[in-house]
Amino acid sequence: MNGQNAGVLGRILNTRGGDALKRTFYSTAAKDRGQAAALLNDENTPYPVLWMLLPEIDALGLDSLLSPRNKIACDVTRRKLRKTYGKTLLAPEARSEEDYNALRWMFDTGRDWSPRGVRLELFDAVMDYVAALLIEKYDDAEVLVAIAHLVFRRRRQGRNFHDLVWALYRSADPAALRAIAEYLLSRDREDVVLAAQLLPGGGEAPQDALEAQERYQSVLRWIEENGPYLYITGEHFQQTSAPVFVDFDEEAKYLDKPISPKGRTPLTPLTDEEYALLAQFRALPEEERSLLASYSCALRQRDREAWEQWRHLGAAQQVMAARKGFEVM
Amino acid sequence: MLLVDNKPIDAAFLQQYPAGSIQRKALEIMQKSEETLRYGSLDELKFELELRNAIVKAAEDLSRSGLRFAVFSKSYANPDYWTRRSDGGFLLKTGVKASDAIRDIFKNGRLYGTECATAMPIVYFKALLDVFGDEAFNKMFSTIYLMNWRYLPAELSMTGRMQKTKTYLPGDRRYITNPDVDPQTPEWQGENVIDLGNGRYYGHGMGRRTIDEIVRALNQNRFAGARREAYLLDTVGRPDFRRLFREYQRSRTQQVAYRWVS
Repeated sequence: MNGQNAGVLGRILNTRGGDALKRTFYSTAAKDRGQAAALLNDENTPYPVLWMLLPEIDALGLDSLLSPRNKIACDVTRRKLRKTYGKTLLAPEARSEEDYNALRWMFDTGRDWSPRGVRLELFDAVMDYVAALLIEKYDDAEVLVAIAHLVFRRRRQGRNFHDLVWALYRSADPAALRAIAEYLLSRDREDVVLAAQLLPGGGEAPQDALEAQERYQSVLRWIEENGPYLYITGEHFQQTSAPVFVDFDEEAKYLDKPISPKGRTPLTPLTDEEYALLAQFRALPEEERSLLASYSCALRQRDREAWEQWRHLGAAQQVMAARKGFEVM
Repeated sequence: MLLVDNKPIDAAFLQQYPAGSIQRKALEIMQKSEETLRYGSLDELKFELELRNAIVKAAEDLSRSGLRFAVFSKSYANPDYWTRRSDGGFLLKTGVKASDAIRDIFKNGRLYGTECATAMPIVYFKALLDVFGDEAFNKMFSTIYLMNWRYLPAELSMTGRMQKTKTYLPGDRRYITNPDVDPQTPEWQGENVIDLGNGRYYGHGMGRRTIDEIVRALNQNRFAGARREAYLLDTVGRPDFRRLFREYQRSRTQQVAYRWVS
């Protein structure tokens, strides 16, 4: 929350705290409800102000005077806090720019803020919800890196980050994975442990700086190689102690067919030729399928023309060529 | 197929467990399994059967304890035994015996509220307490942090890892996943359950239900327009029975040695 551009109420919250904010707001509203609402509706007012003043907004019945942005933010907050089960206001089929802008405002101006006491956990739960909506409903890739950093900040502060990780892995964006990979190089051992758990590759944390650097480079190579073929597994800490959050699809990698991370389906329809290639690929033993997927990717990165020729070979010949080819590489 | 010291077990071994008991049900499934299940000794097999029985009993008891469901941001615990931390987990208080603290959850369940992933370790801890006894249990666990699968002691680490199997046994942990869960309620992203051996499964917040009932409940918490239904995963979570058996043998030997010395 930037203190300089936080509007009148934001500056009071930053400099004098929540109690002073509530007193100021209440006395303003007692004199002029419109003026109080206008302070809230100031475009520079950060979301934490709305969060702090939600009980006062309710008590003073100011809802009708709020801007559309603030109305949406209040609704999202109340839904999360009061557990109003049932149909969400923000149903996925009803995407709206107004909803999206309100959610982004909540996230952008709220993510670095920490209220005191038990309210902190409720605030974090709302931020988790906002993050999940931005990713799940709006496919907002811009927030992913910030969410990755927020996960580690919360870990350092002993705050809950598991639902935030769950929200983060509703996407399989390479940028978010790279942001997490940076923490393999952290001086804070617990950051390294968490980064290793969140990234593909086994979950074991590197033991020293040299190993961390090797693991970091290896993860970056893995992301580079498998980025177009990543899918979300759905695993998470509620289910297992060693979740594999994202993985790559071997068939997609073999065919060089980028997939949708959520549905694990090709972004473009398969051609007849690709169907035929896939049929022979699926008939192979697991070990040979892995070999072909890796070799296919390595060969096309090195020599696209050679790859085109190789993929037209029969399955057995592809396997032989891959074994020999890897020896040379 | 079930092999103990590379030989099938005889009928007398099976008969020692009453028909309908958890141990008998588990043995019958093991014998019919298409996998080959190997045990080094009858004692090792007996230990696993006892622990499975204790897991089922602990799950049944926890479902009757009054333990409430609460998301981590609103979780609570009896402060006489546990310190609630800001991530929603419960840390065993200094100076408190682990056995007393675990037992209190079953005795005063209403003083506790948490998510299903915390309830599962509670079940395992109670089962170990019942099988090992207070003295050995308190030696094993001088500290406990109850939260979810990320925070397990080494003795229970395998319960957090899901493994493929073709043999599903009473006392196994299963998981019903809900891929299209509404982001408003991530606590419905899936349900951890214990197989009670009678077609029912204990899931915290749900009670003792069939898989179909749990799937229906999860489906009601998907986002509007969701296409995928909740479903049971084909994997299981199990304690490392062999490791725990060794611990158990060691603890018995130590107790006998202690009695001889004293």
